[in-house]
Amino acid sequence: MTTFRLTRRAALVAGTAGLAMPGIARAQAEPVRIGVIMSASGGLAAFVPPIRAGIALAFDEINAAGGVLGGRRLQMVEADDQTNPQVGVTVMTRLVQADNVAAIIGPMASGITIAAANAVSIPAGVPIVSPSATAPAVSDLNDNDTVFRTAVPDGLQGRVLARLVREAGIERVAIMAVNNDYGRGLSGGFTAAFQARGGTVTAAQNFEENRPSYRAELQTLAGRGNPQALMLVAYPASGGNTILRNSAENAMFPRYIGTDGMRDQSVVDQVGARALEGMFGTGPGSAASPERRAAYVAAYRRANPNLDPGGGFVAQGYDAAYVIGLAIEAGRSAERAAIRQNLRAVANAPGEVVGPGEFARAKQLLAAGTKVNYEGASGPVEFNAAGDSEGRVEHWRVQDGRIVSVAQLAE
Amino acid sequence: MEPLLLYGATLLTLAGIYAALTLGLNLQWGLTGLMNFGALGFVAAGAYTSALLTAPPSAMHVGGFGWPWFLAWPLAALAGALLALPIGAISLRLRTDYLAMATIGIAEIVRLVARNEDWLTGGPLGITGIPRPFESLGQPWGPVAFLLLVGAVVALLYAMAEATARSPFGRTLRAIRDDEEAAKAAGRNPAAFRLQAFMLGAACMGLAGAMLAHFFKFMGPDALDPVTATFLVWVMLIAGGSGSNRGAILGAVAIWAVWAATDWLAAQLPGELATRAAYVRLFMIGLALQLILLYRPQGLLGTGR
Repeated sequence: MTTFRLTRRAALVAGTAGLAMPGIARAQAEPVRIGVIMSASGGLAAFVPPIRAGIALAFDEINAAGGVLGGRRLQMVEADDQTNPQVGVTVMTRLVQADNVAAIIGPMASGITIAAANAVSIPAGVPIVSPSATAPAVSDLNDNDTVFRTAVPDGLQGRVLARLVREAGIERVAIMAVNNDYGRGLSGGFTAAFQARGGTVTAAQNFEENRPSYRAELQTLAGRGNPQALMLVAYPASGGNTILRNSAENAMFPRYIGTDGMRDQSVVDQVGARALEGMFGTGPGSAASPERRAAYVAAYRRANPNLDPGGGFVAQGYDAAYVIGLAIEAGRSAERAAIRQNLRAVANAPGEVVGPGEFARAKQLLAAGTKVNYEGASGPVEFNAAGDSEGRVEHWRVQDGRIVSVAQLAE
Repeated sequence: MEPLLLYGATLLTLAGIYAALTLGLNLQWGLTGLMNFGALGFVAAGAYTSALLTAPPSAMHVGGFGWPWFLAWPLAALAGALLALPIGAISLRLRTDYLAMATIGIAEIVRLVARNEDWLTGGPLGITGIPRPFESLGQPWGPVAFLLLVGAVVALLYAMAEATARSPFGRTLRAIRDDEEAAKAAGRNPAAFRLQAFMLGAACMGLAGAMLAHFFKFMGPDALDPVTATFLVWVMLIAGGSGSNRGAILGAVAIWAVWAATDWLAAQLPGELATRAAYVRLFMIGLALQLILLYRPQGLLGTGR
């Protein structure tokens, strides 16, 4: 009996406290939930830690600048799609329906983005911004203007890489590409552009991921048409490193060419710097002006001394978080439809240019009724009619055991 | 409130699809003792059949015939059964553990065919634009109607499985499972009965595959994951109690609830831990299986008859 009375009294106290709290203050304190879908396990897992840190950095900066809508914080609600489209659909359903997120950053892979967008986010009208879905097919989604990406589509990367390979004096290339939409799309785009420039693809092979050895495939490729280099479209953890190691052990190819999937320092660390010396390739670029880029790099290094701010799709993730924050502020609403309508307005010219780390200034401008144009860490971030970002492709190479950036190219 | 309801409907729909799969496996393993580790292959056959028949025309793969789902689903079940016919005819003479190896290999063959025969399956890009039944009803009622449809299919399969188990046919299957020599002495031909049971189970899996493809509105080789399509189904059947149809359904719902709950729990962890927790999910499912096998080998509902 006593316990019952005590509980009731406690409940009464709690209830009164709730009543006494001003309603408005409570509404302001309620965070805006933004979903983040990463491939934290599975083939893309190696990419995730730096990208995730980039997104978290952007949210921290926005929250440190007072958040959005007069003091509401942006809260990251995370999910792991296991690099599997079905799991992607399931976790996106959870984010959209149970967690009631206002917008979503991700998924990372193109196939997962297409599947999850078709099944979940497009019908629900939730805006999604993928930092790394690069397949051209993402542009063709019938998406009611809900699917955006800060990554540059693969068509451009294939053309730029073909030019770089020819400029390096290489005429004959063997291609080994991961057997999925990414590998096939990029190797197809590269082959067409390379042949148009007078190059020859001596042989091409689509490989299955996660095999213990790729010696047989490599031997076939090396033995046909005397290739001068091996172009590798792969992910490090699910076969890319194994292929490079197998090839280096037997000295099958004198030189390697990589793409965005293999632009990771862990590749050089694990395969060995000596074997990869002279390797070059393309990756997601940055067209950012040097001072904007420097502001981002400095902030990133302060927050994450051990992670690489120049890693694949890291700046793109940071920018995705920023444009969503700006769109909420510009539309003065965390409603999904309002964010969708304002994404292009805050990212594209014309407007007062704001950059990484300038959320507070952007807020003042927006409050004064000025239109802003976000120029991000990865580039100018201008969304075209299909929701694709028009940006640059990076030219990188391996030098003294480090991956270094050589140039940012437009075509 | 409505979004939570919708999320519940999503989880129940997936649980229902898994229940159909588990019922199929129960026909094969629980009733007949056929160790099929290739559920993935039959799911793929059904899923691709239904996807190609119902999707709008596309240059990326054969057809896109735009059929309605109610014509495509029975054919998906048929596709599962037809795939099982040659496989069963060749490999059912193998003893249980060898059959398991053969079915693993066949599932892998089906997966690689789906990935590499671009003209047929669209290759790694898969098939998009698969219509979901009742989609036109809009956001609150469409998913609920689809859930009811899946529920109706599972109820139908359950009634069929129960009728099969009670029929003379089902008694023969159990006799073959428990003592093949005795069944032979009674004048039964075990090979023919085994093949029929194998095809019946595969038809259930094909139908489940069709429902899966229509639920996700997408079918591609990356979606054919042995962990979720084969391994998880075995966990469900063993957890529920192999041999019992009600156990199969209960196991599917219970294990799917655990699977979904671990996703939700992982998301509540702070920061970096949330992404690392992904690996813990698989570990937890494995641990659950170990505990069930050690402390309740007959499953939640016992092994039935």
